[in-house]
Amino acid sequence: MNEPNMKPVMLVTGTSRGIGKYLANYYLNNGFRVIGCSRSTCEIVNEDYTHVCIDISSDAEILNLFKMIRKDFKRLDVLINNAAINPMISNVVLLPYDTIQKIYKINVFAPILFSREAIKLMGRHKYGRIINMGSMATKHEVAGEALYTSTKASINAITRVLSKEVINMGITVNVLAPSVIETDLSKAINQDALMEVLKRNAINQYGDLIDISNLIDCLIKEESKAITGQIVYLGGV
Amino acid sequence: MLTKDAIIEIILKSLDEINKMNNSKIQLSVDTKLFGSNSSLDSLGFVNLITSIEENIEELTGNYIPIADEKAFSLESSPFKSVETLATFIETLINE
Repeated sequence: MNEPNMKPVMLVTGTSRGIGKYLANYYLNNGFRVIGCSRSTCEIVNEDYTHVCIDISSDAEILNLFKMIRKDFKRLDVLINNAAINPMISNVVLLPYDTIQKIYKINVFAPILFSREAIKLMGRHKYGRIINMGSMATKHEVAGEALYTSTKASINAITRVLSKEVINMGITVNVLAPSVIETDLSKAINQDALMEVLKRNAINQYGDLIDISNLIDCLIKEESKAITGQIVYLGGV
Repeated sequence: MLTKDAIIEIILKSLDEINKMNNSKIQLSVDTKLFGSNSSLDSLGFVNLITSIEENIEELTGNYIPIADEKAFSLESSPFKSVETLATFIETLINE
């Protein structure tokens, strides 16, 4: 994966809180240089951490971020497309067009652009790992969650196709679909509805953050070169 | 501002880099096919070519111009067919 004595470089989107913040801290403690981004500032302080405040719904801001990575890091080993938003549960008949656009820009368009630019950097070294965060919503298909669910179904489809396009570049692409983890995103969802959905899983309680890093550890290993195009659900979905 | 000749030179330089990287012998000519069934480049080579061209242009002009532009998909004839067609397309992008 790396030249000797050079720490691998990981880019994680949405590191100001929740799963993204946890992953940034976890991989900083495990020998990575981590580049994080979010709209707001981030409280992570570490000499191997670089934070960039950007709005990932802006393609120009994403391109500027990669310009910085090319200049300052010259490589990228792992991309974790983590940032996503979930609107209040809303039936399709109540969805404003602007909301549909906003959710798609952040949950679908941004991961595609991040992947596109990451592949260019990874291709140079014939090595890369892309992890897209999915959701159990694509399995449970809960009423009122059409918009969020459709964005995550898009991510699943993109992952499966992209994995075939980049495998001969030494790049793997997988989806990690967590169960419910206690984050700001999950707190915004109706808790009764959430518990109802959790009852459909083999494990009907909240998941732990370590479940996520445990799976990512496996997917990003150099030896995991044959694991690609997979959608892995946590929690017994 | 880059002339078409300068852009052709950048593309040929990028192809030469790929030849050295992959130990391949892609012909360095304006007629060299870059994409499609008659292309000498595989998908990895094509991605590396695009990346290298973007980086070389950025180095020369200070501007990052993504070649994956909307117009590439709206044209009737693919701009990625040959060195010549790609140079014409990039010239359009740069001079916008």
